Amino acid sequence: MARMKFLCDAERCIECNGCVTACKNEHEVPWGVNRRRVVTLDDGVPGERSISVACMHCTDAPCAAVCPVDCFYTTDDGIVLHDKDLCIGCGYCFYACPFGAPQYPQKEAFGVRGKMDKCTFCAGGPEDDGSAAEFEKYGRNRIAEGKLPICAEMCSTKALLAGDGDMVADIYRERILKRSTRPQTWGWGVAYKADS
Amino acid sequence: MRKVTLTLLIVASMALGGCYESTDITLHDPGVYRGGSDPLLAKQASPEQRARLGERFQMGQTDR
Repeated sequence: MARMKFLCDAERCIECNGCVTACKNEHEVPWGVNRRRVVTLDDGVPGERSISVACMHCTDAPCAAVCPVDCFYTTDDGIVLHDKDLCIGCGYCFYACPFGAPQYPQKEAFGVRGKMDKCTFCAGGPEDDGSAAEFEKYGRNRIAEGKLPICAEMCSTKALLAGDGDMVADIYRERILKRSTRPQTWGWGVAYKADS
Repeated sequence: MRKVTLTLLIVASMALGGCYESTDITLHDPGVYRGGSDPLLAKQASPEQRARLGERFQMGQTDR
């Protein structure tokens, strides 16, 4: 059985935020909720790196471990999903997640967070596949349609990969071998070319 | 008088019966999913679905 995984190649990500936009558009994510976002380190400094982050669908998900109402489940291919009908919006999963993936709409008064929302790997939730209820609560179920997450499919530089972990790893391994383990965009290889 | 006493006894027993609270303890079973079933789980078990996703990956995400 495949294990679905995301991988963002920091050497390729150009901080275009296409993945963020595609995700919000595909699932009609409400204002204030970002299932995916691009984080940039050393922004504006030569050598800056960007990485696209969402729920990483952990094998041993800490969000599921701390959930007091046990609303999380993991599919056979490793996608971590949750039931919004059970969620009480306590926020424990937010504190447990190392990636800051769980989001809350904060629509209600008195600081009530509302039902937790997060990346579903475009796999919907515990409702009938492709139903209006599923779309309203969890967004589109592309996996049921035989498609992969829109964020990765829309990535123009193919920095963001999503699919069977073994296939993703093979692609990334090939890239590393081609790069000879060093970034080729700048550094000694660029400044001091072999023929100069 | 007897009727009143009888009525009071019935009312009192019903009122006290309404205050009954189950002493059974609901034990928390951590890590057991309690939500609804997801039809996607059955779909993902099929080899055709896995093949479709594999083809989709090869078609759209491999380096050109």
